[in-house]
Amino acid sequence: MKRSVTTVSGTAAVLQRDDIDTDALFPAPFLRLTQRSGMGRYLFADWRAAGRPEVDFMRSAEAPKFIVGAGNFGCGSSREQAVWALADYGVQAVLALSFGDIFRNNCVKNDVVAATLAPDDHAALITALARSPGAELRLDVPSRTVQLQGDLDLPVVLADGHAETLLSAEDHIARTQHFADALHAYERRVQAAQPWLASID
Amino acid sequence: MATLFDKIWDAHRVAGNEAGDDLVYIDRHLVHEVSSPQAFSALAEAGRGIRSNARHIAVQDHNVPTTADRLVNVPNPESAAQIEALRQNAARTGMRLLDLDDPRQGIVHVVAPEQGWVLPGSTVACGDSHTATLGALGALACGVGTSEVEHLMSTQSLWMRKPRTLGIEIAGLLGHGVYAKDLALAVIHRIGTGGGVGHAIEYTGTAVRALSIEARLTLCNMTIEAGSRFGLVAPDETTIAYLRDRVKGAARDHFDEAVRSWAALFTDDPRDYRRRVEMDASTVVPTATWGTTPADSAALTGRVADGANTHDTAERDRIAAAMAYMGLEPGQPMSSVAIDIAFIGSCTNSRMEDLRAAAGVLRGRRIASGVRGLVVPGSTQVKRQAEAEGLAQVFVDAGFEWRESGCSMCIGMNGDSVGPGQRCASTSNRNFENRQGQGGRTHLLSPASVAASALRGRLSDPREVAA
Repeated sequence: MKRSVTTVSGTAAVLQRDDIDTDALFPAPFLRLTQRSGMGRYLFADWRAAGRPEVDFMRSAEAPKFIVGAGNFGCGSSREQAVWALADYGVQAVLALSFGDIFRNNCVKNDVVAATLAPDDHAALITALARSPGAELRLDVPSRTVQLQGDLDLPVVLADGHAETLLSAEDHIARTQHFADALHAYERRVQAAQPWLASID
Repeated sequence: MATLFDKIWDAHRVAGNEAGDDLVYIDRHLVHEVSSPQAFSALAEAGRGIRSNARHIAVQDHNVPTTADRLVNVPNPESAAQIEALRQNAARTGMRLLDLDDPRQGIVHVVAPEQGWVLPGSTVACGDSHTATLGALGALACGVGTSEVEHLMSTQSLWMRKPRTLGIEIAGLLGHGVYAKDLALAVIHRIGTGGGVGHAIEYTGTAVRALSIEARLTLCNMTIEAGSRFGLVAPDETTIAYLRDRVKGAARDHFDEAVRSWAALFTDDPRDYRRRVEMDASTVVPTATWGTTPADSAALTGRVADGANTHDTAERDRIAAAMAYMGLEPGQPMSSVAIDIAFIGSCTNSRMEDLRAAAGVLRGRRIASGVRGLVVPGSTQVKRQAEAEGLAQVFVDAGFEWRESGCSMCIGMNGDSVGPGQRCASTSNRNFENRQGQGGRTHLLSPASVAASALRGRLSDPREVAA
């Protein structure tokens, strides 16, 4: 069920590496599963199996609410399982320098905030989190800011249109159904003017 | 004045919302077994149906065995269940399906152009990031996640923010032994893995005009590896000639009228692009990746990177980590890198021209002992044609396995995978860690370069082993 997301509060795990792809987030063998729920157990499965230090944070009983990534986070495959796994594990927001476009869209579809920070602000956040790793972050969607307990107050950028989607509690298909007349009119126009587009074959 | 991308986008814009997003009509939706089951179940749970069945076709590809007995033997029970789920979902909703026994079955991005389903000026989406491939025909084609697959089935549309446009003009011509794959790797090397984020890329210039449709499909396929969801090439005589005998149904009935409308599909002025990049195809050489992103590449006659040559500490650390994963020494000659597996397949490079190029290198020769060679044609139709042309025999005589069609070792879901520490020269699109199998090491190359590497047992420039 779609819910309205206005704020996210909690601790953060830092993944200071560019180009963390969705194959790393959710390895392909688990794509054989046909459900949407319970995917958190496969998050970073290969990295955890290899004992990679980047995902040491996952040994803790408590999942962070934030992941702080670096450049081009979530690049590669369109697999939405990467976001289902993050959300099921407990992550509600990802902060990065930039994102893979498809991953970023998949985040907003699943009530996960994907926000970018300017390079200087990103560096300041990483430094502050290194100083106090257990500190609590608070991200506010309407004001597009992220705060670190009396230390930092930084602007974040949401993709165009994502704030509206996060704040809305309406299901995405229901939102589109408000445009039913426009869709019908479009289809009639194509059928008449470009019939070759109206059917695959 | 508008770009090709703007023209097609604007023609498909149904409405806009207060946030500034456009509701874009999607003419064709391609479905496969891996990214669709959760979309079908969500629709069923909400009591929603498919809006326009004529605009959807499903294909089994990602998870299918490539063994000859696959119609009766899908060893992995989860794979079998997923393939069966698509069968049931298609039957229940009335969606057309190219199942394992269909003579048109294959990798969705190979099948769709082959069957004439992708037209200039159309919009296409699929729950797969390599959908950008299909922009080669002058279409807006993009990958989407499963929630968008669900939305698309229900509404035949997607909410999207219009991306900025990036025009990549490639002058000159590719030299002998240099292919669209090498060009794609050169583009990614130039603009970076994130260079296309937020952009739609249009490829133009004499080098692109000279490419066949199959080669343009390869070029557009890799667009997502530069971060862009859309890659496209304006339609021309090559496009029309390719489509003329392939289109079916209404597109066949109205072909001449459609062709006339496609004459407007070009970018009016290069200044209409938000960004521009200029490249020269004549400087591109046979290339392979050495690292763990598709931007980490070098000439096959060159050397792998040496992190000591960069002053950026983060980049130095990244290169060191890639070297450790890949089991390489900084500055090592590319031609000294020994391989275990040679894989020819994937939506990037598994079409007839790819197989002809590889077979041309292999004809009358044997691959090095200890190298496993695997050819997985992109579609069952490609497989049949390659058999009829005698290419299959060339591969078999050279020591390659000749398989049934599917995504296979590109994604390693179906049982074809690269083992821990094994090194694969691959015509696929992603060299990410663990992509082809846990601990597997991937080098991306053109089909001719993979064939040359298989012969020598180490990464090789195909021009050096030419007959």
